[in-house]
Amino acid sequence: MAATAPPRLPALDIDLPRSAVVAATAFVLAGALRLAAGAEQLGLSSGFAILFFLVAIAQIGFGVLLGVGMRQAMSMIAATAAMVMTLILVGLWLVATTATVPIYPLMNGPYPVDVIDLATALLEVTSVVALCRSLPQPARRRVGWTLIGLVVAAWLVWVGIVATVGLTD
Amino acid sequence: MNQRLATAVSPPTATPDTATAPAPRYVLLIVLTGGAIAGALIGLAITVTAAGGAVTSGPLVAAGFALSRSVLDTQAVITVGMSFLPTFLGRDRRAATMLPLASARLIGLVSAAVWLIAALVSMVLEVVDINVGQPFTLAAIGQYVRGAGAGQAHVVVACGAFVYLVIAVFSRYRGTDVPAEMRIAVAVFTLIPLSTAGHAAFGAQSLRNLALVSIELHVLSAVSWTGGLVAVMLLLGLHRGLLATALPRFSRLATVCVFLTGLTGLFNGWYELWSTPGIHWYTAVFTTRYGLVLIGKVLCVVTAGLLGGYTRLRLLPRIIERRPTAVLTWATVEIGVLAVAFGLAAVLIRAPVVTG
Repeated sequence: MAATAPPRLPALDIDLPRSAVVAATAFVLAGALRLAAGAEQLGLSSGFAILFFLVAIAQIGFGVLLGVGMRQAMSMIAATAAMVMTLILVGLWLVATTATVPIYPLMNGPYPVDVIDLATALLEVTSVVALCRSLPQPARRRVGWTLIGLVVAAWLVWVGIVATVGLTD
Repeated sequence: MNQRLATAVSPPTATPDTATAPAPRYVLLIVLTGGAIAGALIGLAITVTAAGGAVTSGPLVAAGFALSRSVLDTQAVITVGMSFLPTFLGRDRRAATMLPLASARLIGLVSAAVWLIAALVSMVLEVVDINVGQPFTLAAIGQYVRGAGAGQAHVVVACGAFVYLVIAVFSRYRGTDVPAEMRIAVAVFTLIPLSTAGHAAFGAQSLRNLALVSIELHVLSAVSWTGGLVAVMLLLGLHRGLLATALPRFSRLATVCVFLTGLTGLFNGWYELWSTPGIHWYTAVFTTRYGLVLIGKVLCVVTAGLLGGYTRLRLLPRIIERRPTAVLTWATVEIGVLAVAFGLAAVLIRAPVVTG
């Protein structure tokens, strides 16, 4: 009796690197929390509500595409852009929680550290580290050091601003 | 992530299997939902007449809240269970596994949608309950979301369920599967916020952090146990081959969950009674409405644990040998008992410790 070919499988699990799965999961969870933060801003600040919703859509979209192993989401340019944008968001949150930012709804002091915001920042940092780890060498080393350089440069600029004009002015 | 979860993203080994997959046992979903609603109604009947009891804005709102929380909990159970199913099947990717996995994705999609709606309904009912005698407005919802921990928790749950829904829709229409870990992580993450917004958040300072961790573990273990059981029995219960593959894996998880659920549940119940001023916890167990509901819940968990133990010790060896067993009947009873416990829990999270 001739051997029959195995039937074509309609849905397959994807062989993704574990760090890519971690990054994708962290991105979608951070997106869910950004969505919650956007809902909180409704009726308080429409500008920030829209910003949070847009960030949430981008994070959830990128996370899902990364999770299903879409090539475009795993390309070097897309991954680097996602990491840089995420680090900018974390940086803005750190600035807002340590100083009075004129455009923020709260004008009488630094933005309070909220559990949701803190969890979002932790998830975003996790997503960046995991995404960087999922890149192949030598790109991982190059992108990793570039990001570290950007973070250090941003921190030095912030220290310079604080030293010049003070923390709350 | 452990090795068992990692198997879900490994390349499948396709082996032909001429056996056709039997239809899912949808009656289990009815048992789960019906049991939870029955449990909520029993709990309400016990607490509703208590002086200064759970009712603050009329019995309709109290009943609506308990029912919506029951539905929310059961949908969370189903969603988490459907997310776990690929890990129970491991590397097994016979053609016969494709239909249960596709069904799990579809059921997970629907349950996530209902989970999202139930979270929003529950939030609206809480706002109505808090603003007794005041007109219901969108501004009131906004204030509740920004001002109360439970409001924030409801929004995070709704957003988490929405994200799960997006993942489920995408994976269904794209025809590929997202990693099981991702769906498990999103579903489990969505469970956490509401569990920390109940009694444990307001108890005595000295043990509050321990109580919060305990209630999170309680919810995670109870939902994983019930959800896993529902998923395995609903989709694989009538397929001896797949059941022999999946049940031993689920059974290991369930054993841990049974003990974790029992221990954390006992601690949480004791903590709530102990932290209530003016009454000794050991007398409050029998003299308060809260204590009576707690006793009911303990009985349910003990009964379900014994049923689970019988399945593991007596039926599992025969299931592995692919011999016929009455496992579906036993599992249906176990799911029904656990569902009643979920219904009682939906009442217990808001029931105050009062005598009479």
